[in-house]
Amino acid sequence: MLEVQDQLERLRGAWMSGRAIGDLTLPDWREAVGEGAGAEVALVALTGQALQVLFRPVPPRLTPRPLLPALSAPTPPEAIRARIRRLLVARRSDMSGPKGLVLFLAARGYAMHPADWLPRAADDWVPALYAPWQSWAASEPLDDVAETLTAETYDNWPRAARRTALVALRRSNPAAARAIIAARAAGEPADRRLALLQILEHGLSADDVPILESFARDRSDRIQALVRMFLARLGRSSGDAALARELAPMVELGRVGLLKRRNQLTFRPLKTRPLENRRRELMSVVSLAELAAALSVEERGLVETVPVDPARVGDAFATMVAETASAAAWRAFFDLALQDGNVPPEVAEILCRRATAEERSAMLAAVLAREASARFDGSLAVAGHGLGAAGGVGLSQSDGYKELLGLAAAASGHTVAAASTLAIGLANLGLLLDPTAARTVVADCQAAGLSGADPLLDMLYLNIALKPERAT
Amino acid sequence: MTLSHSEIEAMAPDQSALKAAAALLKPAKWSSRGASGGLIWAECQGSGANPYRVAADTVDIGSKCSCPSRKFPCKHAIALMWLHVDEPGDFTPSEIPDWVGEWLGRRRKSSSGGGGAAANTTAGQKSLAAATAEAPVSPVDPAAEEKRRAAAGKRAADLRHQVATSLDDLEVWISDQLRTGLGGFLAEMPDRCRRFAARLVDAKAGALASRLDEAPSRVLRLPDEERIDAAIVELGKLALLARAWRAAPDDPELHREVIATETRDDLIADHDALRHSAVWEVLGEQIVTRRDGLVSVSTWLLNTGVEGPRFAVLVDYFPASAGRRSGAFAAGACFWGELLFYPARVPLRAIIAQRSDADVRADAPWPQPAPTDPLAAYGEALLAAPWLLAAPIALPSGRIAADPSGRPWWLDGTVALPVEGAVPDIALGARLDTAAGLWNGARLTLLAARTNWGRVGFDA
Repeated sequence: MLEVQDQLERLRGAWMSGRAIGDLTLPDWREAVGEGAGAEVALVALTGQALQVLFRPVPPRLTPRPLLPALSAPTPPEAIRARIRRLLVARRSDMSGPKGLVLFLAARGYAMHPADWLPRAADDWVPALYAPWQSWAASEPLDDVAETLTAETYDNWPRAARRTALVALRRSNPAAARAIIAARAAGEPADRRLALLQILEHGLSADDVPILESFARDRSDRIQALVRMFLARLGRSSGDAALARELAPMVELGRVGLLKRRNQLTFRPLKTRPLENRRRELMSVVSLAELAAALSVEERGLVETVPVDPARVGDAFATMVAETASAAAWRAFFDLALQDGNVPPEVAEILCRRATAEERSAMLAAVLAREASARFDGSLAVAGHGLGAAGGVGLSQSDGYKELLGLAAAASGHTVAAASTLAIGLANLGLLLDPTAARTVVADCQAAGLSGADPLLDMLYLNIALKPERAT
Repeated sequence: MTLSHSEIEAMAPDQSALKAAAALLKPAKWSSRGASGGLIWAECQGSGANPYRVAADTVDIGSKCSCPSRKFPCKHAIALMWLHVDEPGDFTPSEIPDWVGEWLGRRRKSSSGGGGAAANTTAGQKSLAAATAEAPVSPVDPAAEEKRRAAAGKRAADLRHQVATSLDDLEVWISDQLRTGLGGFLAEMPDRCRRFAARLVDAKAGALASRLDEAPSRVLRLPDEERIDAAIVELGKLALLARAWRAAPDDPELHREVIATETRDDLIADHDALRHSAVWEVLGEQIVTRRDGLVSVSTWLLNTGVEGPRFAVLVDYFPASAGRRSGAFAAGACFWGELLFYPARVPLRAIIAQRSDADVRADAPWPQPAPTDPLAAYGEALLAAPWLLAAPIALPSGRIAADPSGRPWWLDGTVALPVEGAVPDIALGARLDTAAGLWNGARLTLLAARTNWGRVGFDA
């Protein structure tokens, strides 16, 4: 074989530069190709065959990755996977991405089949059950971590599993979780440091003030903002009172009710666009308590009633409440939003950012019944991870649902924008509802004239077909 | 609107489309007939290797067919609706397949009104009765027949002479490339190959011209250090093919490789052609846009069960200008079928002679590859037909690993083969119990694998 290699090397060199090939060293080859006209063409044929059959690529060092670990949840039944793949393709093309579908499956107790979808290591939104796959994607060790998570064992844990464990620890033993974060956060890069400090939001208390204050001058602006937000919720003003004083004249605080005992904020349009912009800017940096102080009332006094909002800055105020209000003030405003049918879904969604799963579920039932948009985007945002379980009571009364059925009635005849609204609305309802309500939506759409075979109903059909793997 | 014969007459673009549709009313030409709501669909065995997928909406009389016809609706769509009007019971109520769902989705996005097919207003000039009437057969004139045969014989002799001359020129051209250096050849490969391919086209060696025209894309996608060997292989195979044809110009395989593929009818008329019945799994689809403006679609099949492994490929071409066409089969689908193979030393290319709708197991095991060198089958194929560019191989249990540069390799305990292109993420974390792919001596193009996570396809 060495002789063949040697001869091939000489031929390769000669042909590369167009030199004469000289005598062949292998007698069998000399005999096979003959002499004279055509011999060189015969030789190139023989050489090509030898290169293809006799030699194989030499691999560099190859180390297969560990096998993808099994997850605690099963993958969906095979019969359903084709529809899931179709939905994934559709969600890729309409830019909605896999998130809703992944969360829906998790809510029903299933994990995606890895041939259909795999999380990336940086996908922080994925349910905790995917932690082993994220560790695999990050090429982290997959050995079972038998030891307890402590500041000392911190580095032995894969990142995704560590985050899951730390969140669980924060719920069961906030002080222990705080101690780990205090010990290890400073040594992490900014993104991970931020993710660690975000865990403190679960059960945030006055005991967390020292650790938060230790990061108040962090070099990352995002971490500084997070710390300011948490401290504000704990009544520790870290902002500039002058900003609150600047904002105060831009809002109106009046009294309402029979006995004029309840405060009510009113956001009136300001004279110029720059002033409007400045008000929004101030609302994003001033805490609810600071604004209350500037208006000489208690923090709760600003959330006794739903603000009157002709200037349409209710979302900015809701963000201020969600991010900076004390637990009691946030709770008061959340309850108002729950009961007041005039509160728009986007405000409810903002308030839900710090709600528990049960609180989100209650808000979702309310928002579904008052949803004004046929896209049901607001309802989906309110639901968070709590998908596939809404009963749909009152759904048929909502303006959004009526508009959706109107679009379904003319599915083949409307504009691209309307078609997109119909597709997104049906997909979102498929994510939100329980199977009984999903069945009702399918029946309503068919009654409106949409073909029962229409792929727009795919998500609803998946919802109906995917039996909960465990009680959700 | 209920579909009726008069509606079909109205929608047909012309009488010839109705006539062509009438010829498709034989149930044997159709498989997988299904219905759901107002939708009907089926697969029709047309003139291509892959069956055409036809779907129609019986409410607004919209339709879709994967055939390359520019008529709308095409004869297949008309025949589908005609069959449904005649025998609605033959359409099994079932869940709509993915390809019908995709059509519905695309159709809505692009539609701005109801079905346009029914808008054809020339119904009065078309008739189903006329379409189904037997055409009168004119008697054969022996003298004319003799004249026709003589002319055909002369054309064949002229063709053979033209091709032989062009193959002589090809050898001279190969010698020139070697004499002037393959370094320069590689630098100008697309132009040089295209110029000589044009001469081969003029000489009626169309198949060889296509192979030469596509050679640069096969060679130049390799890293620099591998191109010289790839160029030697390509030139060597051209030389082998030229000499093999000269030795046996009537050999059907060599005629196909050098001049053109026989027609489907010629193949069906060939009683010696290999037929093989099996449950076939669709491994995957390779779609290549060629430099000549054609798109080739190769659907690779593997028999399931214990016998084999036996591979087959269904090849169709259509113009790139016709746009993306949906494949005839879903990867992983299984069907029972009798395949008719084009005569070859290593029979691979085939058409579907018969196909059954009977339910078959989708997860039936693949035949176990021989417990020898996984490339042994490739070596044997190249021994029989050294001009083959690649051959399918069945691989035993193995893994896929990325090398330090991120390039994937398939490997078992003894062999490591570099894999063409990227692989899905799961492939790096799965145990491949068995896999199938195409080996070309330098790269493995994986088609599908059975893994500890089930079937994984590589042709996405």
